[in-house]
Amino acid sequence: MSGKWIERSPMYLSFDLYNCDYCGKNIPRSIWLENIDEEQVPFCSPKIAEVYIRTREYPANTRRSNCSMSLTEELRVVRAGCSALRDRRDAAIAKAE
Amino acid sequence: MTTRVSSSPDLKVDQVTLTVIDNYLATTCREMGIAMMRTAYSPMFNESLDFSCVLFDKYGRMISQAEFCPSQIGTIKFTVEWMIDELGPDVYKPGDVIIMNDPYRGSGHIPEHTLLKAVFHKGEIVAFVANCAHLAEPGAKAPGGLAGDATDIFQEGLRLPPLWLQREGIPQEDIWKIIFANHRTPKTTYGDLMAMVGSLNVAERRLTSLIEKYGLETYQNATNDLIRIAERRMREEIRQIPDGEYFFEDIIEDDGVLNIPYTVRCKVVVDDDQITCDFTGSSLQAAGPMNGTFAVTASAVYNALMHLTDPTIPRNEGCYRPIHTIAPPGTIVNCEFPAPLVGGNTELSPRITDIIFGALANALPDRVPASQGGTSCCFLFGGAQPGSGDLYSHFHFEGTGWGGRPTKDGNSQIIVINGNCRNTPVEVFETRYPIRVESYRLLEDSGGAGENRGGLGIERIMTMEADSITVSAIFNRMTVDPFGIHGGKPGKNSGIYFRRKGSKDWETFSNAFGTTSPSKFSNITLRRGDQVKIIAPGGGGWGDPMRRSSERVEADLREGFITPEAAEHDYGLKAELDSDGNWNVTPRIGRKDKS
Repeated sequence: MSGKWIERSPMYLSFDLYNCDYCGKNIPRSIWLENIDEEQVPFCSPKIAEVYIRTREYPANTRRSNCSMSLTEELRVVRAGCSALRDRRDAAIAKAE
Repeated sequence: MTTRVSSSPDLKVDQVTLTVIDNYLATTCREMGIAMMRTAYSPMFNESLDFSCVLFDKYGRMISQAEFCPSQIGTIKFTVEWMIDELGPDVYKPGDVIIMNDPYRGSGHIPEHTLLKAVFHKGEIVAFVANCAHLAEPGAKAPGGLAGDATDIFQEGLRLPPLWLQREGIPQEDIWKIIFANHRTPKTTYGDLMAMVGSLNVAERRLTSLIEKYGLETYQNATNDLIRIAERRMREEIRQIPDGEYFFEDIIEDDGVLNIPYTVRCKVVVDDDQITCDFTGSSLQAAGPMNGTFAVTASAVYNALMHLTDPTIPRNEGCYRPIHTIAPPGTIVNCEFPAPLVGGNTELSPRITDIIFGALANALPDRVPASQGGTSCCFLFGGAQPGSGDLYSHFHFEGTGWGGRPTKDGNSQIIVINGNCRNTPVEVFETRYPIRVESYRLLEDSGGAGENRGGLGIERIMTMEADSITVSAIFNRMTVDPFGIHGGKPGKNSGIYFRRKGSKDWETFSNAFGTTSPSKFSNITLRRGDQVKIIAPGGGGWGDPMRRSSERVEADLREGFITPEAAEHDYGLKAELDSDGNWNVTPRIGRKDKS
């Protein structure tokens, strides 16, 4: 993996809008940028960048025909990793409780 | 709908208190809506009820909603998440109201404005209250906002990132001035936005009163418990759907800019207690405004699954958690900035819901209906009032027939599944705007034939009563049929037609004005005496029509829902009127009796 986390700050000077290139979610603040074919591609988290590289083709509206992972298996990984915002929120709730 | 909650050892609040608090929260959302309906200025609020009211906890998790517009309820989850994440958790003060309508930040489309307010208890944020509503005039290139041939987001209206509309109760004049300067009908915008602010105040008072009655700890434990219950019950519901991968696709017939079809493909993957709707393989984003954002697509997925699961599950963050959406960026289901998208929320959204239904038709044969008419029949118009010269603009939409169901016929002339709104009554329409409604009727034979027939669409004919009225439209299903399932036949298509004053012939807007699409266009000027005919589509049929009982076919004939020709052609029954004016039907060869 050759990516990095970036933080959009200050927000009013952050002119780009990001969607996770795998699941498509809008990412408000913390974005994982992965280098793919010399492009910086945004993802919810590094986990998702990894599964994307294994299973999807760029742009992500096709699935690799030679992908060895079943769609159900792929989606299990995605569900676990494509919820960075929710995970942060859940962590805050757990801490508060 | 009254929700039910069930007890469990992991819950901190007793079942009775939980039920009371859950219903109190939902009633608060309903009261927010009534406040908006009664105090807003435009028929979009008073009559159409094109708004939604939702409560969130201090972390931005949805804790309650009421039965308003499903597409807004789904998107507002993402809108509020974005607003809180972009602005940060600690920036709100009592009396602050934040506004946002940016689709690229989670909103459905530009006309839908979301207002957010933090609720405080002893100096601490304890909740957020929010509403989302469709303003009839967002400052787009076309009056009413839905320009059917927009080629980028900037033609669709004034785009607002999260901004303070009010700080500590004081209106932020700079923001209001910008909005007023960009809307054609600033007085209406003012009245509607202030109605939304008032609705937030109602919610703030009700939540404060609830916390004072039960105490902060019980309130917080109750909302946490309700989220847990909703999640558990939704997971139980999903577990009842057989595991597997289910596929369906359908077509958006054109986008108003290019006359090419777009395919929306979905694979619904049911994996134990979770469900994922993967739109990988859908067409790349459209040139015209038929695109959706992630929030629109996810909202349509939620909408479909809420229709197929137990309606008594408390509607909060918990019931969304086991439902996942994959909508690759750059496709029609998740377009990239600055693509136009205003029709995605009205046209793509119901299509996605139907696609999920289609995918699960065999997995849930006792629950899934056939396709609804599937278009909002958006008809926009504006101009200057004869006499006063005041500018007006309005967004009119029609109901359609809904699909036949496993147990019943589809409903007739109901606003599409993503809207749950009402149309503007003829009396209000004619009082407020210089347009006369000549006729408005259910359209016979428009419902798809089936053992359970699709609901009927309508025909409406209107005459322009001003020297100049600018009209726009976004329709769908004008060439692609609303599909039937399990052998049911498709519903009839939609249409929008023009007749010049003095002419006998109806023609499409493409023929009359050279628009690229006959169903999606903007800023066509009509003259006094010109007419517009709207045809709303019927719903698809459910099951083999030859299995429909002769009594039900006879009843349809009596009501004028079908013609004798359709009785013979679709249902295999020869229909004849006797001397007393009653229909007699006799089976033709090949018709099956219902077993």
